[in-house]
Amino acid sequence: MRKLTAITLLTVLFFLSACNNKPEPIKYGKDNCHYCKMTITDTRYGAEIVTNKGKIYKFDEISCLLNFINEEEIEDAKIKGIYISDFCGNNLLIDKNQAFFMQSDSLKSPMGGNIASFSNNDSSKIYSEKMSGKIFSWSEVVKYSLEE
Amino acid sequence: MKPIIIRLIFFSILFSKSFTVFSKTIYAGKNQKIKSINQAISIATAYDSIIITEGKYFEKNIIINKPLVLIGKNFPLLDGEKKYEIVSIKSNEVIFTGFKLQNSGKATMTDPAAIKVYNSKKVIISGNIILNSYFGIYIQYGIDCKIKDNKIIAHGTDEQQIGNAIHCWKSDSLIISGNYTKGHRDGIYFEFVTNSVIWRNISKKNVRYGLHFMFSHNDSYISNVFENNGAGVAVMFTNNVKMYNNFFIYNWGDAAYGILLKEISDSYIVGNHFSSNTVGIYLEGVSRSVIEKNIFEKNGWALKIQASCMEANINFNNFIGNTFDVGTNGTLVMNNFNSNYWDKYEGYDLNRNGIGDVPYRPISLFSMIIEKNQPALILFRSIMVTLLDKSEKLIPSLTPENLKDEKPLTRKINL
Repeated sequence: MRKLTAITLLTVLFFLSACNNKPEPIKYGKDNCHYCKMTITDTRYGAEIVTNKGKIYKFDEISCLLNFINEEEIEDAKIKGIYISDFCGNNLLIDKNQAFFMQSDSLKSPMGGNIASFSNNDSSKIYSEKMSGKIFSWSEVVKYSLEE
Repeated sequence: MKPIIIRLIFFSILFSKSFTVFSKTIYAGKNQKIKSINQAISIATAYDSIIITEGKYFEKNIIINKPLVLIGKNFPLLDGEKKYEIVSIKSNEVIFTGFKLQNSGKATMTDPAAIKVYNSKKVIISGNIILNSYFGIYIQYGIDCKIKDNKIIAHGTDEQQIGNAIHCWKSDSLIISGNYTKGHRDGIYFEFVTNSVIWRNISKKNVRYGLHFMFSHNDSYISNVFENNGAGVAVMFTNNVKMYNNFFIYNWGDAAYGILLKEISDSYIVGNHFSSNTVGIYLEGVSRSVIEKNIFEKNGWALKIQASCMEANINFNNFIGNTFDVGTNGTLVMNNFNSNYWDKYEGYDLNRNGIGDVPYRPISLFSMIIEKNQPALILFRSIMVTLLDKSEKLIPSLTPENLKDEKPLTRKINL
């Protein structure tokens, strides 16, 4: 009897772990951008979408992510979360709702979208002064990236 | 009267030549009077030559801010101590040749390089050896520059951040020839570079691409070798590219391509050799382009054409020993195949004019299935699949009806 419960518990756990819809770290140099097909190498710009079902789409920068949403018409309702790399490095993914954005032409991002995101407001201010950038909100990021 | 004319001619020659006649040659080095390169540059005037003798130099950042010729004798070693950009060229008409540079610094904001050219014209960088640097040679806003016969080697890995060997950004009329690059992120990188030539370079074992092209119009690359790079070669968002007589060899991997073409128009891919790649050419959003007289040999897929391509003309190519000749993801085909040689062609040629009498369909049913369901590849070469393919050849149902070569050649083309 105990054996059986253990087995059922394990199987349930196994299926639960598969249904995990948390973001997954991007494997730089291995993963490819789902939109532009380039290998993702720059740790400062990586981005990903996690769907409700736990499917993960990885991108080399925000503009590819937004173009993907725009063109493939993945329904907004199906998106669980959008995560973006912290520009300051550490290979850290931050939720788009908690991120701060900056646009600057001196950034030279992989696909020329030139938007950096930060986990805190202070660093976004420091970098925008250094690179004469503009602070953007998420809606401004969307507008800018799709117009480019 | 005569002596005056002679005198006039004499003076005119003297003055017109005065700049070259009076430019001097400065020697610098460990055993010379002038010990440092920076010092030699500061005492030099425009169009002087500086010859640097053998030795090790730790000069932090060397800025060349006037037109000078710098020549290294027996490869003097310039070391950036992993902290500094080694040479910054900020003047027109600089020639920099014969040095060994190593350990340029690493920074995310400024992209330091072993040799970086800032907003300059007519700079020549030739015959240098660059080792273990972040970026090798970096040109921004350069016009009419030549990068010739340099050897650029690093030992990048996937996890580690590393720059490109030759990185050109917003430049025009460059000539990149005879360079050897290895172990960087991209071997040669072009972004917003126009009217340039990439000729006879070798790009090997780079972490990502052997050559990476973006938004760079009207360029050609001729007779280069791209071998065993992480993901092959990528040409994206570009018009009017000409690719002649290049070799794309051994680019294996889940997402590795001989060439990845995305959003390309009016381009020519002629006389190239694709051998042992996972995918020879991957085409997405390609329009009005010519793929002619190439050899596709021993690839997983010779061509993968996405349904977003229009008017790609694929003529006179040899397809030999590929697992799949063509793969596609849609049923609508707006590309033309004509007069290619396919080693899998099983038709006949009754009138012996070298052209097969029945058209050849390069897409097998199985390759369509794999496109939708990759793990099905495990059934490859099973009896089931062979039967399926045979029946599909007789009565096409799933494969695109108009994707066919009407005039398949029965003999290999001599290329």
